[in-house]
Amino acid sequence: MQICQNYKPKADNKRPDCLYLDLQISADANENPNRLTLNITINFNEQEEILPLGKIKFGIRGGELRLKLSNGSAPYPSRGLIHQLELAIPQEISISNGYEKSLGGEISFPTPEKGSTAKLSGSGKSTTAKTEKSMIPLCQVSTKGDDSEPAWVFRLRNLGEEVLIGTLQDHLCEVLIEGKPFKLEAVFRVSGKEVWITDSYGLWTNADSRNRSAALGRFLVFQLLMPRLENYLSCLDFSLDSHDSASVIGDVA
Amino acid sequence: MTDSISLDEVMSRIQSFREADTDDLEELSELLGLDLLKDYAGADLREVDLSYKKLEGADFSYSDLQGANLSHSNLRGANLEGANLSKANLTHADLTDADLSSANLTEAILTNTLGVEQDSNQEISEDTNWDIDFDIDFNTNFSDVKIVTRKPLEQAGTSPESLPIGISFLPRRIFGEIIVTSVELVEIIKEKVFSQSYFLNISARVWNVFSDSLRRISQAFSTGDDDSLSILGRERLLTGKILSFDRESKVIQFQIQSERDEDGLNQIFATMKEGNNFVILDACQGGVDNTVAEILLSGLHQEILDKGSFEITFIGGNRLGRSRSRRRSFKSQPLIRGQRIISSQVKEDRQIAKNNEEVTPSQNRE
Repeated sequence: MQICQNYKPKADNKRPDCLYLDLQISADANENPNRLTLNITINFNEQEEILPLGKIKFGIRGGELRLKLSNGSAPYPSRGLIHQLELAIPQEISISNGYEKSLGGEISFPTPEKGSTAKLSGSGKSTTAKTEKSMIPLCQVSTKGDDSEPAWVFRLRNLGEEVLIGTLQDHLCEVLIEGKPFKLEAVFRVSGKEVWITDSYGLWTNADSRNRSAALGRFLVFQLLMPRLENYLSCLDFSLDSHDSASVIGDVA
Repeated sequence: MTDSISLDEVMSRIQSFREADTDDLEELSELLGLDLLKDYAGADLREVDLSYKKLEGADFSYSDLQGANLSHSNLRGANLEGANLSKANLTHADLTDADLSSANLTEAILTNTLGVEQDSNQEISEDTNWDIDFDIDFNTNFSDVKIVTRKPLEQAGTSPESLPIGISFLPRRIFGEIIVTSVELVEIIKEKVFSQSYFLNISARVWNVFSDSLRRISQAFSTGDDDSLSILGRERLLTGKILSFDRESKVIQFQIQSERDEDGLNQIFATMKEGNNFVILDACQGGVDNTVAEILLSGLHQEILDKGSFEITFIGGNRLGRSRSRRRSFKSQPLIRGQRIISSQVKEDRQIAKNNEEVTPSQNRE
């Protein structure tokens, strides 16, 4: 009989609208109780934030999730996400008034009777309007770091989007417990260049030029928003003490 | 910007910013304590005006510069990795050594970008910088880029694999690469760029080049016939005449014919077909003559491949106003990154050109 132990780490999502991070940790007691399987749920979206001067809506265009393992390791072969660099999130796209073009060319070389001629021709036809669901690459994930501090870097892949929006649920990695006490800390951090203001209220007007709004937006991110996101955007803790593998600091699901 | 400041200081700077009577992004940044070169990585810079700015070494990685005006800006060594430069105006911008890995240049305007020969009257000298290190990768998107002129893009890489799939330079630049690169790469360009992108995506822009060139060439020669064009400068070895010009069907049919030197023309074509020497008819900047040459080369594609190696000679040139021609030769040799290999013939030709130039002023006075 398979005995599967599920654990729920303590989570602190500072701005859960912007980033919600959860890890599902499980171990197969029969097979190897010291091998933990980690599955990730991560949701990106926009978040409202009230600043001294007004209100903004922001999101992120990337970030880094890093695990810090004490007495444990996450070997590269066990890491998930790395086999699909582009995680596609289904999006509805509209194709209308499409136009297919083709062009051909030919050349003839000069003869005594006539000069050299070249001909370039093209044709086109309209395509019918349609709407279809398609998998558009939105987020690129790559991994780095050694076995004790594996990291996953998320980056907006589709430059047509302003910020990451969508949910990923996938296998993250397997962790081998090599001693007690075992501790796992998962931290998601962003830098100022990964934070993007998507909307604002009362901060600047339509009359402001693009140069002015670009400068002020940058300043607000660095001086008013980033200090609030300092250290981390999300953090999860999970540990096993030195006496009992079932003794979990965190909740047993 | 690394240091956090107090809320009072934040408010004070914003007050100064609001009172400032400037729209210069550099000045506005300074008022807020931002460094234009360092603090705008990943920033929302859509449609900003950064024209004529010294942005050497700037970090604009992953920033959104869609529709931004970067014309005449110095972006040497700038980090533009992952930047969205679609519809950005990069006219006369200097992108030497810039990192454009994964950048999106869809519909960017690159006329006279990259520095060299920006002025059609600029002399080519030993000091002319043919070397640029212009990093692009498989993710760099060149879809519908408008007119890449005057500077070769051999920096596409040292191997055929480094050519990103689906890039679509105007043919002129595609053949700019053919000129200086290995024969194997010709096949890659033909397959991946010319057939896929040129024929499918930029036919309309080719049309625009034709129209514009016809106008300018017509002005230059004052022929009084808008459908005539002359190539090769003073010698006029070759002229072309538009036979049909149908905007509706987008069919252009033209005939190339000799005017003063039929023997010379036939000799050129004979050389192109039978020898290892191919000719590019390089006249007006961004002109129809280039397109003619490109079509000629596309027709000669198989012959080029069969030769194994070849030499390209530029005759005439963008010196219509100066009433003289120039000749440049490039040996087909393996491409070295960022370095164009110029045969010794070029130096001789340059010397001839210089000598001609010394004579020209007195001739003009006559």
